[in-house]
Amino acid sequence: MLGSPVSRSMEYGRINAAFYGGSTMTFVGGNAMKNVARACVLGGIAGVTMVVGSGVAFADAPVYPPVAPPTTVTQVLGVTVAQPAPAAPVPPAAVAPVVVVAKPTATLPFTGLDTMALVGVGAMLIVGGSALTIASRKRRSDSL
Amino acid sequence: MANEQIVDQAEGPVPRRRRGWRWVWIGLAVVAVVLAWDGFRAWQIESSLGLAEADITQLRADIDASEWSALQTDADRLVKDSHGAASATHDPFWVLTTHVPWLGTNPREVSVVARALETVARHGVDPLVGSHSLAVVEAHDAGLATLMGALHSDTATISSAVAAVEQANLNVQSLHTGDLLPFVRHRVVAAQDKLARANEQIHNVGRLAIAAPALLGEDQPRTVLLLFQTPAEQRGTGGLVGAWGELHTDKGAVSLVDFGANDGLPPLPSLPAGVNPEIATDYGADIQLPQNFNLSASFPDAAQMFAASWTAGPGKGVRPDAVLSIDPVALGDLLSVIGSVQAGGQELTSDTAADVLLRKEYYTYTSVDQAPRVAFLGEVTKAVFDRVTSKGYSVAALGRKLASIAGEGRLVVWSADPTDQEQWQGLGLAGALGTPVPGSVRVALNSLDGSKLGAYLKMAAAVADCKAPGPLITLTFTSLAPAYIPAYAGSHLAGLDVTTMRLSYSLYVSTAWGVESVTVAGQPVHFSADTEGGWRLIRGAVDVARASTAVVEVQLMGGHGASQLTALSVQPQAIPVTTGITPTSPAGSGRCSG
Repeated sequence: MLGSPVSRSMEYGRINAAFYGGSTMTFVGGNAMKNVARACVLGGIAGVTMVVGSGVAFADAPVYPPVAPPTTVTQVLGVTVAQPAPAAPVPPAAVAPVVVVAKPTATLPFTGLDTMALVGVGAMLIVGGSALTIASRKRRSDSL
Repeated sequence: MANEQIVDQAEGPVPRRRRGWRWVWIGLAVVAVVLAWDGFRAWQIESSLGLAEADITQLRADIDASEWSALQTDADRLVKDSHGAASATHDPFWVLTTHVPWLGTNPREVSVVARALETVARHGVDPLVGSHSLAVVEAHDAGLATLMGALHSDTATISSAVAAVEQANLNVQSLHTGDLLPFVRHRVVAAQDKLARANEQIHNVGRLAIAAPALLGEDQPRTVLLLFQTPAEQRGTGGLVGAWGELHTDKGAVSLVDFGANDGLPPLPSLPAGVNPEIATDYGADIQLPQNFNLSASFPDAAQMFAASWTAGPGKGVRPDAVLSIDPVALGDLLSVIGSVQAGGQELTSDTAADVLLRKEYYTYTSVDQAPRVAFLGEVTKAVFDRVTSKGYSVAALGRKLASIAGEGRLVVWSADPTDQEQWQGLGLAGALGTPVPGSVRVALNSLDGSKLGAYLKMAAAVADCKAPGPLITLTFTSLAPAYIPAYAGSHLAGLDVTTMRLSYSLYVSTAWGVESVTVAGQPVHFSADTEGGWRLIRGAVDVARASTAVVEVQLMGGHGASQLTALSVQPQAIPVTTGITPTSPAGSGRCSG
């Protein structure tokens, strides 16, 4: 399906070839392999930075259309990275802000307590209090 | 004697036990009164907040319907209702309740939300609605220059509104919802989310008020390099830059002073300072050519390369203040607002522009010398910018259209001024790769065949949230290319049919993700794995023959802090891309490997 541009792979992927030894590479290791890979990548980046970061000319001739990337890898392992705080979403520009508000329900505002339950408790307290008062008056009368 | 004794006993001091009960009852009565009063205040606050919510809904509806004259009334009503809620929270008994342990937590946080709403209404919405800029937007034919002037004069008003809303947002975000009653917590969390969004929106207004007048030369004349990207030949940032234009902006007036094809831009022997050196590592020497400056999906890097090349070539030493990129689809969308234009002896409308500029022009200009086609493109550009700078269309409608185009990534900006660039980045218009996050994946394509067959590419990108080993990314490419393609627009690769496209796909994912496999048509293939800007860059290539479909599947491996993908973005294509993130059954079913 895909014609591999073998003839171009060296001019295009010379740095990748240096990383991967110019042959098919499969990452299968755990931490040890990860460290080796990391060291290779860091070393490679440092080298490349020295080559291109100071404005030194490219060694190879560029071509158009561009060549395919050198496909030499079959698997890559994830690495643990320090995660930054997630960025806030960037919605389309608009002016109006929104604040959500609670719609009154069968509950008391902001408490969520059931209104009827509270009324019931209140009624019980009043009845209880009244009964207590009457009982204490009766006791006082009896003591006379 | 006995009676006197009885009288003395009855009129003597109240027994201690009875006195105690009296105080208990008095205390209970006071508590009951305070609670009843607080209940009344709570009802009052909630009613006012309910009204304010309705006001906000009305305000949004009027903005959506461009009922600008109604906004002031909406804002006044919002200020009144939000003030009603906030003033109730200043009631002494309510304030007292907020200091009662446990019981006071819920009223306290409600107070913060009510006061934040008042701040947003009084110091955010109201000043903006009364600003000069809105008056210009209200006038249907004020023109871009007037709007830029108004934005410039409203800078203080806007920045003050931004600061007020930011403070309100900080107050609400600082609330700890863990101890709240579920009913209140739900509401406060929703308020936090929505206020954060409102804060971002008003920040965007602030960013636009800084960057847009600067781009359009409000304070001093600017040189803007305009790039035409054509998704008919895909590149990481959208499409091959076939032509450039030199724009001069001065107090909102935009003029096209020069125009040329990409082959007039000199190659770059080395990367300009400021461009990510990993691009050279990843893409090799090919990026020296202007046709390949934007192989990476990072527009700020590509823009700096184009700017350096233009300065060294047709710009004759002039450094552009900004680089603006647009594609034919966006150009067509603009025509729906500013009206049709005449170019090359034909009328371009919003319905025809994209088709003409992406496909038909290659059938019209078939000669090897493509200069007439570039000249036609120059005519179109000049006509469009002449129309944009004239009056007679709604700047509000233009703003909406630009926001929509920018949201699709068809309009991107880079500014040489770091402050302005920060604003474009904040607005999401910079086309930057951004900071790698495990939840995001970006997909980009590069055409490897030199054709314009991308105009006929139908693409779908989907993420299936497999539980193990990780998400499966499926890219589906379908070619709708016709049987006959002019030589210039067909594939230029030897051994490849003229109607077959060869594409390189790039996936930018967090390095926390591993890649278990990449398959094409179900068969495992090798791929390249690099890094760019902190992202893991996975690339491969695929051929898509005419009237056929190719499917690429990338199986990610979770762990290391990466568990799911929640955002998928794809560079804009000629035919809009279908994207989706769908949950799927656990490993072992579907196409997820286990």
